[in-house]
Amino acid sequence: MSTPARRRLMRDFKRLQEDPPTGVSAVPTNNNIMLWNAIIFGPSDTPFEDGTFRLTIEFTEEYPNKPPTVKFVSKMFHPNVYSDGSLCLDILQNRWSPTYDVSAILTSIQSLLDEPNPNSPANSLAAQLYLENRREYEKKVIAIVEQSWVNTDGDADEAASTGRTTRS
Amino acid sequence: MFSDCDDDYSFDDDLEYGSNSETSETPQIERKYNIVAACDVISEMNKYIDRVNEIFKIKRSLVRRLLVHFKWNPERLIEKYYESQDDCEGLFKEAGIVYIPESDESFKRQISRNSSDGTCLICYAPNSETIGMLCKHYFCKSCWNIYFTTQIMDNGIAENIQCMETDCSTFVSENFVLSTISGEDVQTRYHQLIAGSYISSNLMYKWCPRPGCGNCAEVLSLDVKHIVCSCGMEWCFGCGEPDHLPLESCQILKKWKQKAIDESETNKWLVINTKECPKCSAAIEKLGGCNHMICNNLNCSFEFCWICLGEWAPHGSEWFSCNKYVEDEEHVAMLSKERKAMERYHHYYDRYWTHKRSRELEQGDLVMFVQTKSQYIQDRLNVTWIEAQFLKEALNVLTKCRTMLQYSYILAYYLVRSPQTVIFEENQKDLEHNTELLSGLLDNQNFPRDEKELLELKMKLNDRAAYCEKRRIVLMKDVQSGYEKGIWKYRTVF
Repeated sequence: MSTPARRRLMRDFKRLQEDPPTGVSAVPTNNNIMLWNAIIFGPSDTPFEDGTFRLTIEFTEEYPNKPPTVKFVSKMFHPNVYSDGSLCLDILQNRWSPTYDVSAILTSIQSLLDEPNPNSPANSLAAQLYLENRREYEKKVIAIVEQSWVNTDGDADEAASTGRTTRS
Repeated sequence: MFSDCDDDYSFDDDLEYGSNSETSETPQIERKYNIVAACDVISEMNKYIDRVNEIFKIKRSLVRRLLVHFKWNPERLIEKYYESQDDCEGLFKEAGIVYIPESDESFKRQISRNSSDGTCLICYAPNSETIGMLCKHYFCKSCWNIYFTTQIMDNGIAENIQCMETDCSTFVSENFVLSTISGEDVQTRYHQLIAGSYISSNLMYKWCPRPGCGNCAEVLSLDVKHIVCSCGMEWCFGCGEPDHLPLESCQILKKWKQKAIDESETNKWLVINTKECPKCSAAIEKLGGCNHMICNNLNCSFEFCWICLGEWAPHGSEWFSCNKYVEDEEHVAMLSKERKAMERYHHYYDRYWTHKRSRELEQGDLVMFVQTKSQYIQDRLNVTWIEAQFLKEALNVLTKCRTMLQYSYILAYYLVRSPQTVIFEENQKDLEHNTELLSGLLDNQNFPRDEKELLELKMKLNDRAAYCEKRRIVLMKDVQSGYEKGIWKYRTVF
């Protein structure tokens, strides 16, 4: 069934393959183009370097008019990421524009990793450490970078569910 | 489209108070205002814009944006316009408008078939005709439509819709929106939102505070406060709250409400269970130990006696008792003064709150009860609908009296005592007494069994209601003349 949202998502996928942005990657799940698995590589020269962070992106039929729901599946320690993995990012909320595509969303999240906004914290401990004790903050980040390497085998769906259980 | 408010008012009175001649003596407050229905606000706004536009002679939507920027103050806009002389562009820029002087058609949509690669980069639908604004971001009409609809219906944005392109801050013109959106409900909502900004940024307009009313009042001078909406709601233009006469000042009402918050349970607990440090005023609770207190506030650390609140040093070693207590009459007097002030406040607050609560209850349960009763006498005693209206009319009087009593207690709390306040209180007492009697009559659970009983009830109610209304007007007039003569003085110290 082709709907505007699905057609657009196929285009987003095609664009991702033709013109892959550095450090991010995403694929629709096997049987559902409305649910994608994505990976963001931690940007180099940052404490997140070498991390392979898994995310899920869930679209609605209102896409691209409404933003998708993006969640980290890998454990994350970041001022703007909630404990359930969901993000506090302006472009995924009030500053959403229909011109954003999967590639733009992922690159935005990638740059958010090293440029957090500690003034509107989703994780207050991370925000506090980021502002007051950078060394401790980086230590915690490096710990989750190492955790992100676990669960890399198996298919992504499985990884998603294991990710969830280990976090809780 | 304009309802003549004088007509409205007398109609209102007739409805509520039958043929009683007293009604014409309702204090004549200046009523220089118009009640404008929601759908007429737009045409009102456009008329207003056109008047201002006689100077500019540009597009209406542009003038609207300028006026929005200048908070609908045309004098300031025109002043700025003449100041800026040739630099119109600066003026427009300030108001967030992209304006190209050569052509008035600055927001003309540009149609292009082949903007980027010919397809709309949002939906990728084949052969879409893409349109855009001067910022040259082209998308297909259907995508713009969906986008505008979301902004209007879901996000409630109308005045400041921006271009769809990421980080493009060009504002979308009214014409573009209107020519793109489909669906009557979207159009209506868009108009409402646009009117909303006109109302909220225009000091001379305010929405009727009654939920779902949708009318607004336009005053011709900011002195006008008492508004009677065509929906029947009486409200104050000054603060947008329901009518609070006889208390005229919105500030005092605000002060009262703030006080009610301050005097909350927490504060009451503090007053009863704590004392203030005599130096830094921190609230201190004494949980045990001797009377030698050292303030925990590190910046203060004042040492004092719990009993007399005086400095500790002169107490010397007599920490077990304070013989100063008896001597320090001044302090005792001060403490009891505070308590008295609190008692005084509670006296007025309790009465204010009782009338408020009674009115709320009466508007709920009693309305239902009166309806049942009215239906009952129509069904059982062969009374016409119009004849059964005396119940509802009495109820309306009751509500009015309750409202007046409620606010009269705020006024009473803040007034400095004088011979006139004694008269005021007498009037208040009389109204209160009769209001309670009226309430009791309406609330009477006995339904009239025959015509005789009905007639008796009708007479009793009509008489009582007439008397209440009379007393209400007397109280109102007395207060009003007090304002005019400058008799009322407000307390500053409590």
